[in-house]
Amino acid sequence: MDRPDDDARLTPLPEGDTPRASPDGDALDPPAEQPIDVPEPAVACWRCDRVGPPVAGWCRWCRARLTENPAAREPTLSRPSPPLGTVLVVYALMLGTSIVWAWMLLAGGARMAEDDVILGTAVLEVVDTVLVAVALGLIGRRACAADPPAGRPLFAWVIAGPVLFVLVCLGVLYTAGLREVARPGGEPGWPTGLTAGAVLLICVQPAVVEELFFRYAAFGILARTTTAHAAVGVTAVMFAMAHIYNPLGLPYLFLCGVVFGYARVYGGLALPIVLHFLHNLAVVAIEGS
Amino acid sequence: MSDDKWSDQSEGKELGSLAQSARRTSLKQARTILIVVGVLTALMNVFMFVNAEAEVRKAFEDEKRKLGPGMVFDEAEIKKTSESALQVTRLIYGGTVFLGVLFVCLGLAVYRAPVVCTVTGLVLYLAANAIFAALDPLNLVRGIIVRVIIIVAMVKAVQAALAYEREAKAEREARLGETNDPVAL
Repeated sequence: MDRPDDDARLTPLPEGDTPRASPDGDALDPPAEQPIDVPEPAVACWRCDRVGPPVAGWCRWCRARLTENPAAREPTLSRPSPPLGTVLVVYALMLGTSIVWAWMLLAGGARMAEDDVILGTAVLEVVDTVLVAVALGLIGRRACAADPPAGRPLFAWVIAGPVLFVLVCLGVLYTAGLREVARPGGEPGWPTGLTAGAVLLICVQPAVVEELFFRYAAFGILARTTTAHAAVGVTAVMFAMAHIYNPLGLPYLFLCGVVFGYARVYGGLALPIVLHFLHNLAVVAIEGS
Repeated sequence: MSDDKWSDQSEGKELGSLAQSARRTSLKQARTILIVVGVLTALMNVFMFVNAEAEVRKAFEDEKRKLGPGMVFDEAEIKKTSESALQVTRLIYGGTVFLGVLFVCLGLAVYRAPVVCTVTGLVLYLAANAIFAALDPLNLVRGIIVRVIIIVAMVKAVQAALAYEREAKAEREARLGETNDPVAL
């Protein structure tokens, strides 16, 4: 009886042998074919580019549907890559809300009371939080970048303290230099001192929401297509340019973006959130004093 | 059977090459836009940087005229304020010249790092327009059609850059048989 050569489930009988007879004289039935778990071959996901065996036909990272012909699901030139497109659209909307707030600040000027400034800032931050939440909901887990390199997180967390201290010192010097050059007159009444409102509006919300958007969503998506250095640079530019109501502070904000970006690469997402919070807390405390 | 397989492969490669050359055309358009926008921005703001003093003086004269003929001004204070305003104006125009130069550099480097250059160029263009719109709302309306055309072209360039890099990465991996760690430094 011919058996297929690649059928490893049934051992071929040596030539000349006949099936053994049972004690009752009947021929034994061939053994029932036991299903063998054959691992699915690794496939490159068309959306997140990760290589690995799919789970029931879905990518185990971004849940994209993996067909037998991945090229058939490749996005066409006319359709934008959804995650990056989402990030850029939300970024444009955030710029739009900042423009509106900047117009209100310019219109009010020194006449704006501190309460009005706090209220306006709170409204702006609620809008930004909603935009970022929508973006994260649309992007989902596709933004997840790889874990930090092994052995680096502890080093990153340890060195973050001194780096933050140097960054804050540079910020103080830069602000002092700018105030020498451009004597500001008629600044609106920003909240000063460590009040609950200042901590919430200036320290907590920006740290969490901005880091989730720039260092989780934007960085994670860009890091899939480019190197980590390039992703850090681009997200730092986005971060700096998002603060359009402080155009003279752009170089310092870019530097902050780079530091937070590398904190994300080496220390995970929690580190830039903590650094951003502590940085803003230090600035509020210094301005208040 | 094997001939069909070979012809399918070569047809696939040909289609891939056609797609890549279409994307290169988009990148070439982005390069042209970035260089032209960069050069125009830099030249215009160099001119305004040079004329900053006259512009600040004119602004102060206009403000004095608005207050009426009978007003008395503290000339020392006005001089101090006008110097400070001149410094800020020069900083802003200088920064915009730098931005123009940056656009030119991004345009020249677009083939080396398509995604980085196109995304950065788009972000900088959007944000620069936002800053100037924040300073003067009328800036939003001036030249809006040209701005929209530039933004649409740059968005298409970003899409093309993403597809181009993905394709180039797949070709590299197929050739070298190595995988890239997305966080590899």
